[in-house]
Amino acid sequence: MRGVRREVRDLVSLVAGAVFLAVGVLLVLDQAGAVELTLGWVGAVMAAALGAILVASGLTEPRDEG
Amino acid sequence: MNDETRTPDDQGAERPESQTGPTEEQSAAETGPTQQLPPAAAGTEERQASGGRPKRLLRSSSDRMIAGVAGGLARYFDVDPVIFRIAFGVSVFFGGLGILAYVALAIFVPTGDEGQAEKAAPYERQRWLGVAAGIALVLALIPAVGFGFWWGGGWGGGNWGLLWLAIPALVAVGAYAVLRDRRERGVAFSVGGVVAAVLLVIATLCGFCILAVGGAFVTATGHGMAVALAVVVVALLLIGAAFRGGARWLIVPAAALATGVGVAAAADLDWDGGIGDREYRPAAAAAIPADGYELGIGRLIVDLREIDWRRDQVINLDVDQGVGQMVIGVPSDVCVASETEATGGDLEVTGEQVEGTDIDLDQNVNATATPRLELHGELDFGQMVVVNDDTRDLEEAGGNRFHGDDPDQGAMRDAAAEACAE
Repeated sequence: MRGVRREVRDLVSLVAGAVFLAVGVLLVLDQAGAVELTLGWVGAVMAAALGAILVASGLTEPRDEG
Repeated sequence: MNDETRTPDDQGAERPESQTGPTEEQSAAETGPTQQLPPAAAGTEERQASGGRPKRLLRSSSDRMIAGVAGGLARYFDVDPVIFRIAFGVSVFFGGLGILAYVALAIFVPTGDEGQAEKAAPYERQRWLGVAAGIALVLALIPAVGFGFWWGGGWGGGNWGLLWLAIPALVAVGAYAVLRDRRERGVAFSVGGVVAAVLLVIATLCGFCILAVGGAFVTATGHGMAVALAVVVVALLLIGAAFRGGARWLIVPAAALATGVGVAAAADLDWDGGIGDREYRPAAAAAIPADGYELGIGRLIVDLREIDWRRDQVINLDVDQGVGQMVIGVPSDVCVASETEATGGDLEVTGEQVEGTDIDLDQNVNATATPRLELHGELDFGQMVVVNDDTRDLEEAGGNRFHGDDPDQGAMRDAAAEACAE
């Protein structure tokens, strides 16, 4: 029996999900006391996350609405 | 008729070059002004029409909303004219600079058509504009965090540097994205559509702010783990939705919650002490609480000028505030030995000032002169002002009055130096 490979239909959502998953884990670690975030790090991480999403959006073909 | 009325098939950005050829160009030329060429074909025809001559900047006579400036610029730079239209609109918020530029271009740039190709502005560069915008945003924001650019010109009505540039830029970029999406779906361009797009983006930004503040509030009250887990859940929903056609709208709540909990956690926001305005004017040192004064959100005024300071008296004062403004008044002949810090904002102690993020300001920490105030102040976000002036109204302290070459700053610095001299 062969597994079914699911196709990514929206790369932007996938990249955004991956980015915010990483950010969320970082925030959970901070709340658990495992890491200590500074304001500079939060700003840099959020800017990088936004940048990654914008880059993914820019590299993705416009969605076919039809 | 403008190019916004084209159907997705006519956009041409996704069409291979091989589909363009003499037959299409010929048929396009025969169809008249109501039909548009695919950009690839348009580019070919434009080169043929220009005969190899360098491109001229001309106002568009066909793709125009007012004077054809945006349409002409778009054709010259091979980009979507909506970009320039939004840029001119947003420029209204910058003293009308873009309006002046528009008028100048309308006056000095002639109107003209370089063949039918003018009506078919190619969009090949849009994708790379998106990539470039993303990279530029990251490059612009990362140095801004930590170097104090966000607090460029002051607190309370001052110039917040890049922040004021970021807000209209976000609105413009968002509005452009909405309009591009509408065009891809074949919706005709209209002024009403632009207004609706701008309003939609503003509403989205407002929703973002509300969620971010809510996340920060919940985090500040000790439930940050729940918000952080909510970010993880939304991220997993995004990943799952990516295989079902996507759910990009989830990016907004994910980013808002992450920003709120991230900022609140990094700033170690502590809103104990309540919300509102507090004013304390102790008449004697004994009336000052041993653990000092504390406020969550609001304005805290502590006026120590009604105390009858003995010549050898030393008073310890701890003040802790979450968000807002803190003003402390001391007599001009009292030495202020202070250790103050803030996660973000503005610290002004006896005429000395520092502003930005993760800042501290220590003054006369080793002073032994008396009478002396030993001040330990902590502020998450906002402004802390220590005024060593016998007559100044503390209600009006702060804001921008202590900035720049305000003579009161010099007077307070001189008074502090004299009071702390051995």
